[in-house]
Amino acid sequence: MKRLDFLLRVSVLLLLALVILAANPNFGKLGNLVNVVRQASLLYILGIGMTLVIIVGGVDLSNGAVLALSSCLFALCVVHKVPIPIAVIVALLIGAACGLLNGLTIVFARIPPFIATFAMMYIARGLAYYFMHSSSIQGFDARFRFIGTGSVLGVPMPIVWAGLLYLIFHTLLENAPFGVSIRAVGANPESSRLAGLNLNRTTIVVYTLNGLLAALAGLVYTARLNNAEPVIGGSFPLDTIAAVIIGGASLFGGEGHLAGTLVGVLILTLILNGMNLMGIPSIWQSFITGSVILLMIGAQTYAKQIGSRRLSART
Amino acid sequence: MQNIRKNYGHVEALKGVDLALHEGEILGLVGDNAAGKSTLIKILSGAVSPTSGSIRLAGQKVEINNPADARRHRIETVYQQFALVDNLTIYCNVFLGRMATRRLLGLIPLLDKDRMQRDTRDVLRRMDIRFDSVKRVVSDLSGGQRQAVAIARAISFNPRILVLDEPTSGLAVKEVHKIEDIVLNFKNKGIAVILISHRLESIFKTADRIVVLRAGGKVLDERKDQITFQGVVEKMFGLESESGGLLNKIAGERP
Amino acid sequence: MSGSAAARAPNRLRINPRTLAAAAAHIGRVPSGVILFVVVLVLFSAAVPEFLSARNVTNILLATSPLAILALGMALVMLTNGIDLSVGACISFISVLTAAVLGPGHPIWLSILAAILASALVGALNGMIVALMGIPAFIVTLGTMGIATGLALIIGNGQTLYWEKNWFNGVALSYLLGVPLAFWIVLVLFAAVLWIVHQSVFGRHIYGIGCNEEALRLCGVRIARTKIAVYALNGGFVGIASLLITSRIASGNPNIGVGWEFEAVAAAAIGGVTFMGGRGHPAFAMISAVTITMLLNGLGLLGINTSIQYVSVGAVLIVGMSLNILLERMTLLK
Repeated sequence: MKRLDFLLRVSVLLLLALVILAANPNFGKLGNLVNVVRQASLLYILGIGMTLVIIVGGVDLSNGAVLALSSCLFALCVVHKVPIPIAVIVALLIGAACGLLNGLTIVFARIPPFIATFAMMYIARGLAYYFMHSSSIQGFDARFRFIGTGSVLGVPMPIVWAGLLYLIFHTLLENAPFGVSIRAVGANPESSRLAGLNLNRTTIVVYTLNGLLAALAGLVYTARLNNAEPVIGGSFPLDTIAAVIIGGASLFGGEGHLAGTLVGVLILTLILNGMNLMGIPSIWQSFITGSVILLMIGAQTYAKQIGSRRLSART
Repeated sequence: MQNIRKNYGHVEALKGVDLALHEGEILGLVGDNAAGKSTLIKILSGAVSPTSGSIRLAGQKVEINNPADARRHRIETVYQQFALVDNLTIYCNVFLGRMATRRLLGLIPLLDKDRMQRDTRDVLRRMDIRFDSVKRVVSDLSGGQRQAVAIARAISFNPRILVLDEPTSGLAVKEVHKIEDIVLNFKNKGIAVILISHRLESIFKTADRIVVLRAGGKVLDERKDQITFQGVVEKMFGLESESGGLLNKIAGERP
Repeated sequence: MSGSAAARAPNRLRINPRTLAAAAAHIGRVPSGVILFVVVLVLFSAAVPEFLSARNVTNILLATSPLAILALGMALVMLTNGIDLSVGACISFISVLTAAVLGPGHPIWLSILAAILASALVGALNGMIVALMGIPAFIVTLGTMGIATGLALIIGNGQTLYWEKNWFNGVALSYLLGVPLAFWIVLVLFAAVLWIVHQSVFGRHIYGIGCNEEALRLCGVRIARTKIAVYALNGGFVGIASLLITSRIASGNPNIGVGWEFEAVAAAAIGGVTFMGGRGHPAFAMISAVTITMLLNGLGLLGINTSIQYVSVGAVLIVGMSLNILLERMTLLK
């Protein structure tokens, strides 16, 4: 069943690619494809974190804001002559700290994840604006910029990062006890508690990891754009959530795979790229993206309902 | 369990109940709703602490203040709500909370799926249950199969005492028989079982001894061959003075 | 009173005083957001002398009107265990739509009608997809948010639209008996919501869906109809709020609505209406909307940086929610 689901998603992706290819042969050019994958990689780094959060039964609206805050603080450190490795660590720590705060608020103050991370979004964004005095910082050291603009054996860095993180987190999710815990807590918290799992620790760690990944994505982003400003990432939370859901995760928790999120991210990026290639004016783009998300998830939910109806009819 | 009392505020859930369990014995614990059965076993499993009273194991007094203590004394409880996680596999559920790991490169702990699958198959074989694959996801299983997995999980801890709270509720007749067979299987394996059920037929089929609770007190404690079905029902509802005809109407066709 | 109420409710749900009392108890067990309201009020009155001045109070009432209306609508939607994330995008959409109607010189009443109808339609669309296709409201309204954003851009070709100056400009800034007209509108809508919640079968169904949708479905209640109606009603409220905003900025701005959905959800959440569904009262959501506006107003008067204002909204949200949860646990223990 799961394999079938995944294959269906991949076929949608391929279908989409074919449609765009038919509309504009430039799509198939290697340069363009690499472009698409590279763009998708940045979203995917965020998507990995969001997948874990959604599997554990929560949601995180603050990843864009945390990305902005950590990259802005990184830039500020650099401007204040802090050595780049230390500044990088600072940024990652800030991201992890925001994630940790999210986790603590959700677990101990019992505030619903939507509200808690939404509050964090406001707080992180506000702090980013405050520290940057609403301006931006450009011009970073070329060695730092390598992590965003460079390439290893011809593969652009963002894709390298995405690949590495996929390997690490895939192992964590599918082959480590912690991964089982995440799925158990997300699907059935009460049973997990009775079985002796530490719900609080699992939840807090997941949100902290998500914050860390947001900060990492922010660093790659800043390196690529050579720019750090507090306004970036406004659409990231909803984009990542859409990608994870299209990738097959369930908002109720317990379900989800990193491979699925990859397909989801690629689909979203393809749509955007396709629209650009087809010369669709940007004002139409949110309309189309919104409609496509709705159609895709609608079709998914419908198919799931029909599938379960047939299953119950058989038994 | 001696003289167990439990008060919730001014509500006396248990009024000084004594319960004795012998090795290899299957004890059927019956009673109407709110008779105190669940409370009593929750005390035994450490989920609830008694207002007063004591528990002795093999003559030694023991303190059971939380589920971890109960586990240490090799008392396992399977609650009505299965305590299974739907989207995980059979072997994951059996090993939930204590997943077996092997070290990659001697350092990184990864799941030892082979070992867990093997051990799960062993436990199931000992219970005389067969699944075509322990990698199946629990949500795909029938009610009876899920209950079997829940029981397997408890058995995998190698308990001396196994408490089953309504193991056959909501199951079809064929599956009820399967669960009954599993329970009977325990008799020769040195595990003592406390079985709570509303299905008196199941109790009479599997239990050696029957204990009836009513309104927080014990009203019957006899070996199965010393009492009748009717007698048990009478004790459950306090209908000793009623005519037998009325009872037959309530109890229906009985062995 | 119970006589006429019973006549209005031909259903088995006769509204008698006992049921009303039970409903009231069920609806507002905890005065969520009130403590926060009082705290913010007291703090800022003490910190800023002109906070309670007539001019500032009317300022606050004026500024809070759109959010208060949104909070009322969002509370009703969240009571059915739903959510509407498209609210902000709709505000942009309706703003541009209104301007597009006014631009060529069409009558103002037409633009008002178009605004409310269009937003109600979007709401109904949300409701239909949620109710009939069973897709979680979160996802559905995420999609419609994108669609509405797109529509806002498409209608005006990405531009902000203007129109010939007429009485619609600044009607939202006008006063009636010393109170801003905008706030009068809030009060009228509030009265309507009160009626829905306490006197109508519709309101009982809303709470029922939030509490136990299955039970209601088995009783034969038309769940889909109620849900669609709730979302459509919320849409109507969004349209009104957008009209107020559009009138105030005297233009149709395709970006004006960004972020409003989150503030509406925040107000509702502080006001005790969370995703548990079926619990809470829209009145508290409205009060919380005023609290948020008061906070922003007060911080502005204190000359605090806008970015710190952002931060404080977030902080207030967390504090407000924690208070609610604490209060709930305390009343439960009793």
